[in-house]
Amino acid sequence: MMTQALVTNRQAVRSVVERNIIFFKRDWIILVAGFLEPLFWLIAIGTGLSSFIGDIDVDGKLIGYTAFVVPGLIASSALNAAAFDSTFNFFYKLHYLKIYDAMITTPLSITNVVLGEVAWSVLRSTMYSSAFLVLATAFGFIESWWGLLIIPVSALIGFAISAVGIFSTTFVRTWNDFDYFGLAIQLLFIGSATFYPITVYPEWVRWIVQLTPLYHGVALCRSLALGTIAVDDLWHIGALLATMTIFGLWARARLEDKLLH
Amino acid sequence: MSIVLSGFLNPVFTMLTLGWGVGSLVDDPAALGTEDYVHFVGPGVLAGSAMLQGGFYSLWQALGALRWEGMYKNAVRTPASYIDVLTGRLVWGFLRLTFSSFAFLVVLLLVIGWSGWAALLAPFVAGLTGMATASPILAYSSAQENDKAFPIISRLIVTPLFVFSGTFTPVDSMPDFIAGIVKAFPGYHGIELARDLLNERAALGPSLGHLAVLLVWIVGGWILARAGFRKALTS
Repeated sequence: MMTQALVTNRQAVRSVVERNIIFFKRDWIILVAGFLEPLFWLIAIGTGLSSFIGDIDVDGKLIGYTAFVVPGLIASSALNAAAFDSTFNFFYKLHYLKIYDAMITTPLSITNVVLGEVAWSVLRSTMYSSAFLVLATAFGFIESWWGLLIIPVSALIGFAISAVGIFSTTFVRTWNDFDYFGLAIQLLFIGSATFYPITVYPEWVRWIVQLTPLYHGVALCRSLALGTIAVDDLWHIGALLATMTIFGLWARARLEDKLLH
Repeated sequence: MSIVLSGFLNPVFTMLTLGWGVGSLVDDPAALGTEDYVHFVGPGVLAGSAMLQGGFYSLWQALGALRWEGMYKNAVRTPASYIDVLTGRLVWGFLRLTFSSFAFLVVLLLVIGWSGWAALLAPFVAGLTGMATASPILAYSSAQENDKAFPIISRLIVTPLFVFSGTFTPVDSMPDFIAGIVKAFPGYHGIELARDLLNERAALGPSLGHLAVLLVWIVGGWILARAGFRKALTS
């Protein structure tokens, strides 16, 4: 095949990632602002409300409210990193800049393009979560060496969110449709047991929450930060892996439809 | 649809999930000064989300109307002046926000129960809070040729103000320097006033004080925004 003769898949994916890096080098302050947002929520709710809320029971371990919220917000920072690039920015590049039309006239395949955009989201998610993790550790909120695994977990969150984001964006027709996305992102952010245990919900709401990707990321980050690892965590990893595979492949198929027909 | 989603569903979900979820964790609601957490966060989200929407109303939406779509340029070809256009934009924003805040109030009252006639004033306070944020930002955005700095204003000014103005947490429980800064801005005053109105504790003196702050921001922004409107619409 010609494509393999010209560039390897790895080079191809890397070129898509590099385009994002070049872009954000100019607009680095947007990267910083995106990172700060979960921190604002941490200061306002995590510490602001901690004097009104007693210790919380997580798998039999009592922890302070701020320590409860911190891992939830680390997972949310991965969401924040991936959600905008894979939706608003992806739409802009797809329909206005038409850079994907341009890319597939080069030796890049559609799979390369999707993987490249997802890889960028993963990179950005990992950067956000790692920086947050360093801060959280400095303030004594990470109680276990398992906490280091939060970094690969945030990569999984970034991948899953990015795949769902790109898939959903292929259905968008006008900018107004993004109002639904704003609502969905806000719901994921506050509803995924970020600020309170999932047990406060009635059974049927719990089921819905368990079908969304960020919940599993939050639960994993919380187990790792507090060192309360259990068999449950394997199913959270499974849920994230399933989300990224299913939606990743689906996004690729949808995009193929859009770009080739 | 936009107004239903961002102006109604978004704040309703925020209020319900946090009011319910975080509310079930709060041990001592009396320390918040309200009956329970929903009584605290409900009015907070009512005025706070109006503030947030007021901010967005003066960023991309305003630049679109002023420069990209040409609607306002057509308006000044009629007997309306650029100042009329500016005033009209703020009045329309106020009406729109007050309207969506009434819808929010209905849900809130279903959750917390009827809390006196004063509650019916809260949506107007929310509308004013939104415009007290929109008006000064409009002074800035109307003078811009492009939207380059808008993400920064949205994410580093408007969003933090929404989170820190006492929407979810008593301002005084936050670090002193944050509390001090926040009290200078209109969001805090709108939220406090809405909270007083919905908890049957609004006293005349403090309420007028909060209103005065909101009006100063609205009028101040209006005065400064005239230059940007003149430049964008008459040259």
